[in-house]
Amino acid sequence: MKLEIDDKTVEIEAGNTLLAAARSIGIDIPTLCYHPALEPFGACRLCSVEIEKRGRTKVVTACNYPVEDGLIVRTNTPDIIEIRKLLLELLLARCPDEGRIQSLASEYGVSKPRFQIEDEHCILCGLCTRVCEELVGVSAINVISRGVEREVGAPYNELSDDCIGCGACALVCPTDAIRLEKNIYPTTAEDIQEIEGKFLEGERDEVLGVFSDLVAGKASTGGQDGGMVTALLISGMKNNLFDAALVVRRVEGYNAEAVVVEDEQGILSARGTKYLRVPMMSKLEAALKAGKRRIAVVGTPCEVKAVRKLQQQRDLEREYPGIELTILGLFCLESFDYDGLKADMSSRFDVELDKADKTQISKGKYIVTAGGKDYSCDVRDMEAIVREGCPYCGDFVSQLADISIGSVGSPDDCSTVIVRSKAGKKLLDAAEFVSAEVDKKQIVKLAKLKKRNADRNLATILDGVQ
Amino acid sequence: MAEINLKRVDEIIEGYKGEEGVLIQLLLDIQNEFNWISPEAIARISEQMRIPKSQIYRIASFYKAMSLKPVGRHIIHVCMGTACQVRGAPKILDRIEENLKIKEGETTSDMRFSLKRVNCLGCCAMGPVILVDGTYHGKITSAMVESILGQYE
Amino acid sequence: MPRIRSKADLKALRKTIVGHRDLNKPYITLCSGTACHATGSDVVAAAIQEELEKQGLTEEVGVRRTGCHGFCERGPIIIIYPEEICYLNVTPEDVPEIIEKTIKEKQIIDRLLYLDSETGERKVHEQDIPFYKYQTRLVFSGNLWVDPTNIEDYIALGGYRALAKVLNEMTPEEVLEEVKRANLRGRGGGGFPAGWKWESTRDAAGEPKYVIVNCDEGDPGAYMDRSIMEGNPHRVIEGLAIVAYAIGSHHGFFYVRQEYPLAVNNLAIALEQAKEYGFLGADILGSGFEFDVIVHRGAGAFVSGESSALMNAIEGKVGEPRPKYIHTSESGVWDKPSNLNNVETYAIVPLIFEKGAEWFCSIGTEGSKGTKIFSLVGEVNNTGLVEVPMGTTLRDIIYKIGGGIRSGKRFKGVQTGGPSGGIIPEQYLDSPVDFDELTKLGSMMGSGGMIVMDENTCIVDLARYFVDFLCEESCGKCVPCREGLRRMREILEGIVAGKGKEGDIAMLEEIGAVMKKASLCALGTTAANPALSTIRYFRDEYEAHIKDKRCPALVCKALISYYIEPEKCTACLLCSKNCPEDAIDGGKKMIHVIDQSKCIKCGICYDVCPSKAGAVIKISGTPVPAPIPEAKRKIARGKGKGERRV
Repeated sequence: MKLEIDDKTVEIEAGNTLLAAARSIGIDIPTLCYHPALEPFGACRLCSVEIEKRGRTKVVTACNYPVEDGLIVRTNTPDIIEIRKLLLELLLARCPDEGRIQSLASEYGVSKPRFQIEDEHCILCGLCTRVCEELVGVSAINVISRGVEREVGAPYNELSDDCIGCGACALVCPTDAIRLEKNIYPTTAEDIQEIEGKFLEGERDEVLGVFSDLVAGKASTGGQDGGMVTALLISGMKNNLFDAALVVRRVEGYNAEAVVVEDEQGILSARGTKYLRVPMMSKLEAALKAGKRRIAVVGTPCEVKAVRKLQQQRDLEREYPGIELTILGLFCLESFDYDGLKADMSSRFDVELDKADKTQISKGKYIVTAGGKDYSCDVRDMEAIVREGCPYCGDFVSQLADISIGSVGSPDDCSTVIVRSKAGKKLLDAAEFVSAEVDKKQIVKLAKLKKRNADRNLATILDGVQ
Repeated sequence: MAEINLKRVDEIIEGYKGEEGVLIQLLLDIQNEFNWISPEAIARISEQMRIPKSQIYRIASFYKAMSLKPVGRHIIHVCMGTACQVRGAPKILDRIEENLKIKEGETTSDMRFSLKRVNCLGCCAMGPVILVDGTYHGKITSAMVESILGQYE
Repeated sequence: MPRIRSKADLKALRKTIVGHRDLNKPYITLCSGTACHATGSDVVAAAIQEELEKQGLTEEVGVRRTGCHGFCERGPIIIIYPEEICYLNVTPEDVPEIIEKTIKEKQIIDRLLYLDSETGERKVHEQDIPFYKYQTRLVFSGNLWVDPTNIEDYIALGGYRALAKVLNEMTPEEVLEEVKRANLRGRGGGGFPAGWKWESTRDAAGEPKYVIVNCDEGDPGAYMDRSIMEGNPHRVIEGLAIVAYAIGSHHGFFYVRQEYPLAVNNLAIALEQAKEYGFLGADILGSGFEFDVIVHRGAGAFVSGESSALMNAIEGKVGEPRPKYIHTSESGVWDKPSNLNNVETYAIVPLIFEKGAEWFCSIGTEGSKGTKIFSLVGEVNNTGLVEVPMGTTLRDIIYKIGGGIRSGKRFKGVQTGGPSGGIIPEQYLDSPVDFDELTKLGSMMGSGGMIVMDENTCIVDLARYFVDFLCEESCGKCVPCREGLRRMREILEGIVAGKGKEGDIAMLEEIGAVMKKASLCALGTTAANPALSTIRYFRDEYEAHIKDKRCPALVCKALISYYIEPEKCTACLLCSKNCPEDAIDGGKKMIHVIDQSKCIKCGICYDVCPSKAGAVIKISGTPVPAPIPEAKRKIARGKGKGERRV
């Protein structure tokens, strides 16, 4: 395709947009809602340009208008400048304190809007909701309402159960809006630093995060892979370190849900690893609202992030006086989709997942035990049923937990335990277990693998950020 | 407020399983059955139809026929179409708001009435028109408001 | 009923149906559109049934509930066959008399006939009533006679004959040619030539192809499509099947507003029957052509009437316009070629094939052929649905058919084209109405809403109303539409609140110009029209609000005061009793006075003041006269009529 942009000829393959064509020859067109890794959205209209076809001109948006042979494009006519100026004036009146808007506006000579000034931050460019839906795949936040009431948020303006704290939305947000959202948990590098400083204690390891102790052990109570989670919970409750625990329990066969338990019986009912992600944050908030204050939360890295982010951005002590959360993080490479896993097990091994005795991941193998028999396959073969969002998480060892537990790095029948804070240390000290040798290298290897994958995925997002 | 019967929700969902593009129709059925779309219903649909909650919530918040809040025993729709507008619909709305001591979009504390504006009921010749539950009241004046509302307990 | 397998079958069936019908048998038809429901058509129907049973006449007298007759102002309407006597505003109390006198004794009840207020004459037949006399009812004709829940009524009128002809005698190309020759333009908004649109869908790559009926009808003040859908759904189904055949589509959608329950219901019944009789499904009328349709309820969003938004809604997604420069005829539902037209457009199609393109072209103007149905509403005497040839003047529609402005008030303007349209002032009343003329006047045809306004309508407030409507109904996705509308509303609210300032009009125009050029979809590009067109024709009214703080129509609360003229007050106490704020000072035999500081301007005093007295008036732009001193408020009743002030 050969076309002319601002009197310069450009040749580019069909299927490209005017924006791509213009940028390929160094012509800058301003955009606010465009990101190369996402479907064009056409909402901010800043990339409006004039096209001429068969002698007739009209205004189109460069971000989604496909290149055509012989098209004449003008990106800087007085008409186009007028459009951009007014759009920026409208946006500046809406979001007067946003640097990105201020600088774009001043580029176009707009400094003081002629409209009533408001104090919004979100310009509704939709980058956050689209990155969450199109790339990460969890759709934790979305557009709500319509017309002038349109906004972005989590359903019912309540804590999201779907947000995995990957922070992709914060990366793409051109303003402060996402950082001000209270119901999702985008955890950026700065956030992690802040959380570590505030809640954790120990040396900072590049791969494993902040920790003071790394041990392997086998609980005297038994349980999967050493049963250390169960043991820590039981002894913690016995020693009055917390009154309740938010744990994941199997329901309806192998499916699972988060529940609050308050005694040993309850803790024991939640034994066993699930490799499933379930709604957790709404349960935590419900427990707090119901008057529970000293709660141990057991969660995957994404859930740990969510709880920490909540502690960081909200004044929980004021909302729930006496609150004391102890976070037990699990090692997690990825979690599976329940229906997908069920179908996969059935077709792969002819095993009914709901009747399985236990499932585990060990040394790159997914192992399911049913009818007294072990069936196993390569975890890598199960990529298709990995939950949305997991490829964007780089945390294998629940770096922000008070104490992290997993099977990797310790002998069979034992658990690896990483202590990261005073609360974590207290918890470990109270538990009875037989210690064993830890293989740190093995943990580091997997943690690096996960991090590398996530970094690669997040890089596509970062690359497109202006 | 009717208790949300999750079994009924499941039945409605069951009727749409395996079909594409049915979310709006499904939500309309839920709305028509319960007069609102509850968080429990959304969670159920999300789980069974494998659709993220935020996408369901988005649709329910976008379309006017769907309500995310429980509504009263009787629903009053005040037509604000252009024909009704020029024949005094704003006054009718004012009068109803005054009478029920609620604003448009709200429900009385005794759950007797919910009040909604609607952009055209398509009975333009009868304006101003209000629709209470299924019944159209045409050519009404503000003086008639009280007696019309009195018909509904 | 066995499926009809050929054109000959259809002919035979029609013969049987008609043969079974005794044209001399008394028949009562009762219009039962939604508007008539609002005026009590159901109770009248029940009363007829009850009375016939009581009189033992259920066998001798037929009853048929038809669709909307259009003259909704005077509904419910019943017509008694074979004499075709037309009774208006019928109540259940009238029914025994109608059965007794008109059915049994063949007498006409004068009081129920139409009264021509000018000549004092009564009109027996519907077609003699001026409201109908000047109309050309083609698309709407079936509504008078057909019971929408009975397919045989439609067949008796020649229904599905056009489909049989098309499927048996014409190739799809010939069908397209015929529609092009008829120069049919879409009735839903833009007036795009239908034949070309269908051809581009036919030629587009991709299978399957879809045909869609838009019955979302979001324009406030318009209900033509509703009435057709409720009153004669088979005509739409037949039209759709013809278009599907021409395009090569085997799957259709009806997108119907869920606020139209009767339309949804009648359509569902009609589809069942059409399937049963073999007008839908496999091998239609023995032609080998297969076509099925699905009904999709619209959940209430004006913006979903935009074609790409509607396609999104059909896919179960939020009905937001798609940001693509690809026509839906190439990439619509599920990215497949899709054709969208509104109800009226499809309903016209069978007529073109019954009577031919030449006949169709003989009606209308150069650029706009055929008839158009308008929803004539607002401050006009005869409100309702009117069908006239394209090119009929606004004056003929409003005065001859509509009977002029209510209560002898002065015409101010007529709003056409819904929220995307504009308001046409008095000096253009003699303009012929067609697609191009309305556009020239800064408005548009839209789907056919025609809202008449009198001198009591404030144009600025009306512009505010439309902008407010669009603030709610825009999807809010793109900046010019969302933020532009918000700021336009802010400015207009300021003006009607008496806070207008120099430069407001220019600002509205500036925002409007950018919205027009830069918005994402047709809603946004036209959203400024109501404001821009009113500025164009009624600038002085804007200026009165801004500069003089005066509302010439005496509507804008902030700019008016209520005042009781002392010499007219009869101390009837009505205003003071009804005042919700106790702002009226008065008592028996005392001239009433409004305490301006307490008055909330609800206007109740104005409404309740007996028209004989007319003491409460509205004042704008000038100060309210000082209240008369208490000492002078006593009214002494004199002899004879009137009162004397002391």
